[in-house]
Amino acid sequence: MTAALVIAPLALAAAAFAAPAAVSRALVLAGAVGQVALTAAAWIARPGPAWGGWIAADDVALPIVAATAAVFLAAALRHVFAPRAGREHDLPAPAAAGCLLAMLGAMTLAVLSRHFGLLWIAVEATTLAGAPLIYLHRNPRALEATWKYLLLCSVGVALALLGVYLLAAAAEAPAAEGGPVALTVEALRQAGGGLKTPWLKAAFVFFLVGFGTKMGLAPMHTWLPDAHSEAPSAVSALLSGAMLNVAFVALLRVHQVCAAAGLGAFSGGLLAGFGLLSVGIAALFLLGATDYKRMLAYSSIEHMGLLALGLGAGAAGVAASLFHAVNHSLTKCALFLAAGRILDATGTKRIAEARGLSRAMPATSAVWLVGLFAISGAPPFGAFFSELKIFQAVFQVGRWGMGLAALLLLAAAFAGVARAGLRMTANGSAADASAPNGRRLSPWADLAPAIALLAVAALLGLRLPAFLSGAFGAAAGVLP
Amino acid sequence: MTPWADVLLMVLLLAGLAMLGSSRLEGLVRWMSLQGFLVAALPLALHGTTAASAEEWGLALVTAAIKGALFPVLIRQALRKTHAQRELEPYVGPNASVLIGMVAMGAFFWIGARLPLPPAARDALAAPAGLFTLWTGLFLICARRKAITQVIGFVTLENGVYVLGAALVREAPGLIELGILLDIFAGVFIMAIVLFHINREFGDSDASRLDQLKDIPA
Repeated sequence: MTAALVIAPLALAAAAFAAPAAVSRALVLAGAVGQVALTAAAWIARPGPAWGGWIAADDVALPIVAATAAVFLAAALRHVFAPRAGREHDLPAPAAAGCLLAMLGAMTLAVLSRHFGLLWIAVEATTLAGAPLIYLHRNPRALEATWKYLLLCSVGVALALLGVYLLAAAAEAPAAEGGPVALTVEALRQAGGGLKTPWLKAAFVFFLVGFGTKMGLAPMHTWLPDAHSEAPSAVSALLSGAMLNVAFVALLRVHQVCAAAGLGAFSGGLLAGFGLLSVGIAALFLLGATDYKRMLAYSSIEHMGLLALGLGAGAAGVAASLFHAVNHSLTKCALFLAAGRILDATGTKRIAEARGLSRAMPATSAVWLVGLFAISGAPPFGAFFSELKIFQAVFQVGRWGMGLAALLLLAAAFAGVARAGLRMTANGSAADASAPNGRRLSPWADLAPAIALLAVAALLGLRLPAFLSGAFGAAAGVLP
Repeated sequence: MTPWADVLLMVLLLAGLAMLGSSRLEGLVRWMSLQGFLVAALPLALHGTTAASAEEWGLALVTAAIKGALFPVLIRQALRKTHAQRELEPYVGPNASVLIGMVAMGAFFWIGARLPLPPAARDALAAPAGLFTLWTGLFLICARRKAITQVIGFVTLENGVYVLGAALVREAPGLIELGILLDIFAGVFIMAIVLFHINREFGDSDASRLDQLKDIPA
């Protein structure tokens, strides 16, 4: 069953590439629904590892796989039902469907991987499957964003490959006994202190730079605002809500190996440092945001920074950041869906031009505003509680300065986001938001999923289900 | 380790310098192709051809086919469509690039001599050659304007990583090596497609024109 989570979307992707346009769209929906069903089945059955222990639906993977499936379903609905008038020059539908499904398969594989070589292959595959999707609407700006994304992420991930080789060097002939250790999380954890420290440290640095690029950690984040703002909203939702998590899980696995080898303070400190820098840079740009899709992108950088900060804050921090990753995925996906609706209606991404939404499109406007408050950590949404837990963990490990600085930056980021949200929704000249060409989508295709995602995010805050809190608790056990 | 490994690595170092010094794109592609064949043969040379298993031979052949033959074909295809034959107005010119490259090479030899490399089946040249090739790729990406040169830079960088991998790891599972190769191939293939679109959209492959997206509108 674990393997089915990967094989099903990949098989559908192959079919979609060869199928006619209408069939390929149906396959995307089938893949999305199927993935949700498979994930639910995996939660209930808790299957063991597969492929000789190279993949496993463990407590770290399952929550992220579930969030990925939910985000993909919402994004697929928006993608499939998106207005097609005037879009004859887009990427052909079968290719788009194939890339979407391939990306789902690759993301799931990366999250399930427990072998670092396989993990690398899957992460690079998500980069490649995402590139044609960013250039879905073929215009020069999207092309520029695609090129930056492709080049920066490929170079970053190539450096992570050096990390894989360095990890292998660290595992070759550990001090205890001869013979190389397999590059699986289990074997490396068991080798623990037997791993050669200088090589392991070097490996971690390359992993951090490589996967950090992919995750959008500053200062390697420069591709992210471009890609998120120029991609179609369904793809932006997928990039931000699902793809960034993949790199987060990859870094979590590497950190886990470092901690088992007694280097937890080294890797945790680096993660926290890059995390704080990301929160800082994001807050700076959020204060001066002029483009609402770029604002969401910088908000993603902010939250990836928080995740890295949490990862570096011991076992409780790992559990908290896993919880926060799920909250961020659901909320950010809802926000990108709302942003897509606003863009459809107003035809502009500029905050100053998309005004008076509360009168022109009250439901979307409400989702937009509630989502912005939810992502900024307003109760009762899950993000409030997961951020609280991250800061508790950060203070517990004694990083007082970092924690306080991050709290201040978070307040600044909130001010920027709230100002933009209120300016857009406030009763200005409602004429601004008149739908120019009637390309607005049926609310069932994106507004309803966005509301559902926000409802789940609120539910996670009000009453975290036992199966999720159990998984987060167990995931804390990955650190010694 | 065989004497062949030393020869391969020496040529690899020189190929890197030659890439830094060439302003003609055709020349760059030829050196990139040579590098592809060199890195494909390197694992065999490091571990000895007689000791190599059928799997190692197979992997070397596939690597040579993709990196030595297929990548140059893909990039030449894009080159023909752009009518771009040489790199005009690079951020750093060829002469300065070679000078910087020689300094960098010296630094990598210094670093390579101080790395605690595992003693068995290693070559003293492998670490400097790998690091220098990796650095050359990064330098080409940063110092040249054309998107096509940046793709060549990415392939070069990956070749450097491959050399370091061959020096560090005695044997990786063949399936993983094949998967990595497939990813790299797909990556260059997609980059070539994007290059085609950049040419169509902007008339040539000058990546410095890709500067419309920024936070503060000009």
